Amino acid sequence: MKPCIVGIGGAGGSMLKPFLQNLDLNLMIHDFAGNDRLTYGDVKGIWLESQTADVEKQKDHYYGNSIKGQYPGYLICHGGVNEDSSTNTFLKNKYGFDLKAQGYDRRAEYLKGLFEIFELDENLKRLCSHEFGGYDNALSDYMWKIGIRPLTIISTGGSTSVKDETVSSAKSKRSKPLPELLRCFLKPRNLNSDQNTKRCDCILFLASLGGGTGTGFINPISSAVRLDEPIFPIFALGMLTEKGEDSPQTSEGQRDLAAVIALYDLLTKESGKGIDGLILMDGQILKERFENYSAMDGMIYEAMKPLLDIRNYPGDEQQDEAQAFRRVLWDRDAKNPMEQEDAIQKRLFPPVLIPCYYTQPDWNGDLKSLVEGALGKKGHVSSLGLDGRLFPCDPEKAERALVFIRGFFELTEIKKAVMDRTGLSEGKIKVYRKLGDSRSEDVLILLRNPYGGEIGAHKDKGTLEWRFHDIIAESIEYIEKNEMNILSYHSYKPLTKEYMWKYFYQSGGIKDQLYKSLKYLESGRKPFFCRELRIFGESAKLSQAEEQIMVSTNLEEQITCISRREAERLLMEKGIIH
Amino acid sequence: MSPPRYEILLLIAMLIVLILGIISHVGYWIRINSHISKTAGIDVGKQDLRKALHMHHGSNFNTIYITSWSLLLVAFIYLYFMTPQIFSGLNYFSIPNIASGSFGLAALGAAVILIPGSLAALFIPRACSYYTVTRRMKRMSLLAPVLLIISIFCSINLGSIYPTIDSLYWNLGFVTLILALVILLAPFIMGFAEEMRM
Ligand SMILES: Nc1nc2c(ncn2[C@@H]2O[C@H](COP(=O)(O)OP(=O)(O)OP(=O)(O)O)[C@@H](O)[C@H]2O)c(=O)[nH]1
Ligand SMILES: [Mg+2]
Repeated sequence: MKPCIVGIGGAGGSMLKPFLQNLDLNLMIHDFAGNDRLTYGDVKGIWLESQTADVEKQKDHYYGNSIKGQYPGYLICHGGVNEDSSTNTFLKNKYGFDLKAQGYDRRAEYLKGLFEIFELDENLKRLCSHEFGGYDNALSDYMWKIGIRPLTIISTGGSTSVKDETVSSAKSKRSKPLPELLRCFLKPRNLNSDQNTKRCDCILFLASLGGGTGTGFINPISSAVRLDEPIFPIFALGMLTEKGEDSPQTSEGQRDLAAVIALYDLLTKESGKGIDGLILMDGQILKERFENYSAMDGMIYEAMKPLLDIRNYPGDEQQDEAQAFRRVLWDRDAKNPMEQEDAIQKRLFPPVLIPCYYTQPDWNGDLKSLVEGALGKKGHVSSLGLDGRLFPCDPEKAERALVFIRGFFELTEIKKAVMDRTGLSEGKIKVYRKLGDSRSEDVLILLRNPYGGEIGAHKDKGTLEWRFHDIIAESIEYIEKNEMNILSYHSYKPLTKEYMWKYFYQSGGIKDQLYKSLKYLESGRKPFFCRELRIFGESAKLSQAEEQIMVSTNLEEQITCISRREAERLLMEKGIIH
Repeated sequence: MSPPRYEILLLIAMLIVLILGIISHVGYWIRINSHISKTAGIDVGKQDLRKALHMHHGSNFNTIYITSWSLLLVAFIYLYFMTPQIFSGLNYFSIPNIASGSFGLAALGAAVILIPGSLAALFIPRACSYYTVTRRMKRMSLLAPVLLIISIFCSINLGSIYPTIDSLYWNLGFVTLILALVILLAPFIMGFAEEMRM
């Protein structure tokens, strides 16, 4: 897997930095690699931002302007929109939305509304298509076609637009190429590889859930990608915002609301329309372990390395290819890729993946301690931040475990260690072995949907239900207490205000749905976000979406689950197990 | 028989360092091979192992690394064979028409780079691609060409003042040379050391 990592918003940009750091020497006088910089796992990336000021005030000037061919680069999402754009004037006059807004004040509904209008308003569509040469959307199409697409394999297969070419020719001008032969000699990989192997075969979004920019762009860009290439693998890594106030004094409630709306929208997009999986991390856990954001961002990078490592174990080569990985994420016990692809078409909701990461010096060689380091000891549900779980969860509730491991271990032993801890059967554990380096060995375990099936789990500190219950309750409270603040943002026109009111407060709106989600969480139902909601458009019909819901309120299952926990607790009290 | 000259002893020391590098490389392969074949569950051929272990270190590093190995050879030849002081029968001045030509020194350097240098440059960086080279090590490797150029300058100076002999220059030339050798072999030696800890 060779992802194109797309950092969105302030946090996304900082999280992306370590992924794009140059691992090659910096010779100052000449760069023999040109724009082909050496990164871990050969990833490429771009930073998308809406605030021009944020981009310009970067102290370290890490990112250059991608339009000028600089790499690593940023792209201002509204860079394609002129000040006097007729589309924007129309949008401002009718709805009060501004395409050139500088940041969205941690409001997820702003971009959500904005993008819906582009899908619904025929006049706007016509204007936009006329002004932006066939683009359906002035922002998401621009970011996809100009920013991301040129870095992916799609750009070599399909037709490249004129703009693509200007960007890439600007890029190649930057460093004078050596004679081709010498280049091949310096980089043996060029001899037997074409352009394609250097480009990315999937997308990984990085963003903070709890901002306005980061959260708002993931779905629209995914839609733009899907139009081009319906099964291109798209993953997202969302950082749940930490507790307390953040730096420009945005209250916890407001950011929780942004996060909840973002999570809701990402997790209720049916398969084939949105992302293929959401990797969730909890900023609160990271904040307790690390002092500042840059240390946290460094940790995120370290934790993702086992997934990005391209040195597969001999014999295990093909399996971490992006398409295969995508199928495994959606997998519903299908026997072959064809069946899996069929299953994906069945309008499922994307899975949540909880990353658990642990590293130890490699002379340790102890698989059990490695797996326990990542997943926590058996029975320890609430050891927040003390083990490798990067989001609160109970590994025993996971549907699947994807294990990315670096070091020398036997396949059966890895599976056994994970089976022991999670109780999953062998077929539900997928292991990806990488060679890593010989300094340390580490493991990243992605647990698929580790929640549900137990009544009252939201009361146990350290479960996923507990964390979600907390932020959903916070956001409901925020919605109830801040009607004025939510509805009279900036220059919303009466039309927009009306729709916003309906979205937030009408029965069947987001507040109602969130109350339902709380109930679902309390009763152990899975999933707990059930119906796609829209601000301007028709929301999904209840009956349609509810078909998808896999209710695991199977009584028998619950009783066994509860009694097992109870038994364990008793045995532990008596000191029979530890 | 008189005891061998002290320069010869140092030459032997340098050879020992080189042999250490080779032993590390062989040892590393044996260890890695045994780890992998124990755990892989399938028969792993040499070719597969090579492919699996291979990683890129970047064009800039490769350029510096290849240049350094070539320079190392030049520096070595200059230091030992420039003057008849060490190997009296075998030296630069004994080939009169090169020594007297205005580009003689350059021609000698070119010959050294072209023949064995290009061979070394082909194989050693390839071998190096099976090892983890940390960024610190990469930055250290920038020192190698600098050290080697100092060494070469010392040798040239010795050659131009010959028959006067200045042991300070020779010693400096040697120290910089062996330091550069150690830096260039560091990935191999460190890689093996890491492997041995398990
Ligand atoms: N992990 C991490 N989190 C960050 C960092 N900077 C900010 N955050 C978190 O992200 C939240 C804000 O998200 P931003 O990414 O700054 O917001 P945005 O996406 O730019 O959206 P706007 O509201 O439009 O500015 C903060 O409340 C923090 O919780 C960072 O460098 N690393
Ligand atoms: Mg921002």
